[in-house]
Amino acid sequence: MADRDALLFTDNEWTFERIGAVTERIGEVAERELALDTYPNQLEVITAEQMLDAYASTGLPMYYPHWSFGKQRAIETGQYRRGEMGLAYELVINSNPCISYLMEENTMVMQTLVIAHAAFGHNAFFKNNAFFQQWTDAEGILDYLEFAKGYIAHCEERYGIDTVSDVIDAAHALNRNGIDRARRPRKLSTRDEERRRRERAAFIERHLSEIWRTVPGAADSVPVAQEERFPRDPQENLIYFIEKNAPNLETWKREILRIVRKIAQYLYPQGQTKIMNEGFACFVHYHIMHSLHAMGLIGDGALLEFYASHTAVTYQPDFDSRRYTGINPYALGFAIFQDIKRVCLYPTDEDRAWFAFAGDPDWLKHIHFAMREFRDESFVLQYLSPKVMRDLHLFALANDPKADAFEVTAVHDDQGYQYLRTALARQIAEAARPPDIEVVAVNRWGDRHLHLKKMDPYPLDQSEAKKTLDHIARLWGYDVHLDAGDVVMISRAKAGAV
Amino acid sequence: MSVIVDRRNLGTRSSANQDRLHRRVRGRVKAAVEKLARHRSLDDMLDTEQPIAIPTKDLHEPSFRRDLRDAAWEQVLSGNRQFRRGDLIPKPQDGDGDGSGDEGPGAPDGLGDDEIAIVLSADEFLSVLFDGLELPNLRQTRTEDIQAEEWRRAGFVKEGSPSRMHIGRTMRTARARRMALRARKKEEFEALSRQAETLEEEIRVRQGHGEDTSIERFRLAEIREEMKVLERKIKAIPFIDESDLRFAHIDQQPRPITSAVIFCVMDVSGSMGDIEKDLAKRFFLLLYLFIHRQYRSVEIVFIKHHGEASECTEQEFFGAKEGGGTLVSPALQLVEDIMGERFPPEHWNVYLAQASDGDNAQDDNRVVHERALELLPQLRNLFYLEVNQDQESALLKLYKAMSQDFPELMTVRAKRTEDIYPLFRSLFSPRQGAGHG
Repeated sequence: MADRDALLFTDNEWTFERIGAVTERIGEVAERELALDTYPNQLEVITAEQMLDAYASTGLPMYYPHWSFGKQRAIETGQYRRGEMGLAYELVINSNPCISYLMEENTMVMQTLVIAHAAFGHNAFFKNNAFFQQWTDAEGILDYLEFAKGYIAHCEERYGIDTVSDVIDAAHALNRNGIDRARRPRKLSTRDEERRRRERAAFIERHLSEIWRTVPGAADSVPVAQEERFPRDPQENLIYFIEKNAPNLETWKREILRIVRKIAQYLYPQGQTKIMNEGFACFVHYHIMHSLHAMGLIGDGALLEFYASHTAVTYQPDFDSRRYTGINPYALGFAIFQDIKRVCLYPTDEDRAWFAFAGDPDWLKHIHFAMREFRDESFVLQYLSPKVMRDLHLFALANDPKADAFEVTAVHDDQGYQYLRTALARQIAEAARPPDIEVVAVNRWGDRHLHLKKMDPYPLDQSEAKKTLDHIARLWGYDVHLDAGDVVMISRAKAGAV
Repeated sequence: MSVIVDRRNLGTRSSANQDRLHRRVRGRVKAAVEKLARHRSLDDMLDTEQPIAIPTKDLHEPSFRRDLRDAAWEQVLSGNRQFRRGDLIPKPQDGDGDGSGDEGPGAPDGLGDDEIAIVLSADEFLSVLFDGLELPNLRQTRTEDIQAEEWRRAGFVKEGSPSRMHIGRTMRTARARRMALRARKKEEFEALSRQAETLEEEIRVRQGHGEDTSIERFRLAEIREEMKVLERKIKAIPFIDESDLRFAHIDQQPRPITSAVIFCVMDVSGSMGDIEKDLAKRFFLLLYLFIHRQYRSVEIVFIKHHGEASECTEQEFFGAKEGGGTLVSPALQLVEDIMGERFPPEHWNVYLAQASDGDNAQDDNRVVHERALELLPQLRNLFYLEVNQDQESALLKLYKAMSQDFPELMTVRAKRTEDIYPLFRSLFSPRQGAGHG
């Protein structure tokens, strides 16, 4: 190194002063070289135990208490103690200010990497990606979680821990089926949440019986046509439907359904942008660490330690390796973002044939565009290049349940690129989507049963489906039927419903 | 702008979740705890935290999921080396048809193992162990019986001995008084000084115009005088006044007796072998732990007896092996003596636990009867454990007969270590009436 005095740190112990200094320099680089627009950062140093806590509550800084989080923690603590699982070096929360957790065990190099990755990479992604902007409210989430926790504590006090737990169990079973995919949700402006909750409660109490009105009204009122379907169109958001329409559900239970649904919705974009989010954060930390090194702010040793962590995180094992667990989102995301830059700066003829922006020297513009406007499925469909497919040696495999062998349907060659890209995008989309179960009808004039139908072609795990239906029946209060294609499942409402 | 926060000292926030998890599996936890209590020695159990394995199927969280085992699917994998399009790869032949196993898209549950470990602290362990049990048939006592006097802090008073003066309170009161008395006078003073200023100004103006200012000047002198008086008054407010003094007050208040003593009485005659002693030991230990949860402190007195009775240490108590015939009454006599000397029942909750094979000398039972009649009104409970007898002994019969009149006398019989915990439970379950044998 030319100038040892310029180094931000020479040994590997972190201190609060160093973290402060590093964060400041990283902030400068992020703004000057990557034009990152971020929420203000709040870096929180935590212990391994606290990291396990954070894991158990899907990273949220605050959550209502539930046994399932205790279970998750018991599992993860066990794995951690047995050494089967390492803890993430960081965890970051999509909120304003953006909260990043730094583990106290980290070395100073790791803290630097983590700050670049989370506090700037993820942070910028949260703030700018269209999907996050539409679906989540970084301003309101901390307030909302506080409200949710307080409300559920209030319910536990009033109705008993076990009763409340039963409702949450049922709601959690429908967690992934509580999202309006087609509709953009309302902002969680939670300062008003408590007031709105009261209004809702009052409204529901006044109007709930509306669709269930079977007593004839005044003589001159027009009776509702009995054959009219309800709901008019199939509804995919099961929690929402039950919350609004379950015949006898107490108001506080509806409120709990709403809380679970709102939090699921807040977390929804994370599952839809895993590859992009991690890929972008890796792209950012990779750039920043090199810049810090080039400016003489971190030493060669630090750079080497960084490489070791970076390659471990972005490593893609082969399909026949024992470490293979599918396509590594860090590897794929990082490869694609790096590739976008490469296509801009050093395009080949192949790139020019595939990408209109090939050769445009303003790579940062294209990186920003990609980061802002896509989610995993469309990102892969748009940007996965033949080069990346070759580097990862991608191939597609098809299973026909009746055949004795799997068939290789495409490999990374000229005939296969398009096919692979589409297949991978579809695979990503399906993995991020729960089985499509929709409410098609409610028997309003008879036994009030709820009729569900599976709308996608994939077979359901039947024992799981049965147990989930039982939860729905407990909430709905009457029988629930599920038309699962080849089989119709019925769950009877039990006397002691939730 | 970045903020850096040290959160490490905040500790974990998992206890609420853990509580709920324990509630959720309380049936399992209870069964496991009871199994431990039956088979392991109590020392072991309380030594360390107890991991209890709970099958995750009890904690299953269902949801709608796909089952792709028998479905057509296609997926993209990495790391191709030799495959070309159209290649066929034989499916694994291990019969389960699990094409999506290691490499499949099937969402991994995250549950590698089928069990999780729940770790109970010693306290949690005991609360499960003794869940729902209560001390039965407590001898009805008048409230004053279970109370003693104690000195407690009881706020602050205006009079007291100098040694009890509370400086903080006193200074606070003094400050409040000074502020209250001064405020009004200061306001007045300021009003006057403003008046004086206006007057001065007026005098200056009038003098400039050559007008007469004698009235104003007279008024000004008056005001100055008033200000002087006020100033003196303000200064005269004492820094500390006798009325400010505050003294910490202590008062005698009744309190319930929160300590208990257990007399453990064991027969160490030749007929009591290791197995019998182990039974007794388990029973005594459970008793000790249980009673300990009710009181702040618990003392134990060990008394061994054969022909004669003596107080001894715990080691001697459980290790003792002495021959000779058995007399029970001297032990009861010794209990009474020690109680009178060191643990008067008006200050102590006294429990007596006795273990024996009941092989008492025939004519001693009459003496036992007398002693017990004397002793029982002073005890909270008398527990009698008879070990390893095929037949009820005369002593047991005697105690049983007495328990008709004294429900606080309870008897049990045990043969094997597994019996102890269930016996213990049945003894302390609230619905259970008098003892049984």
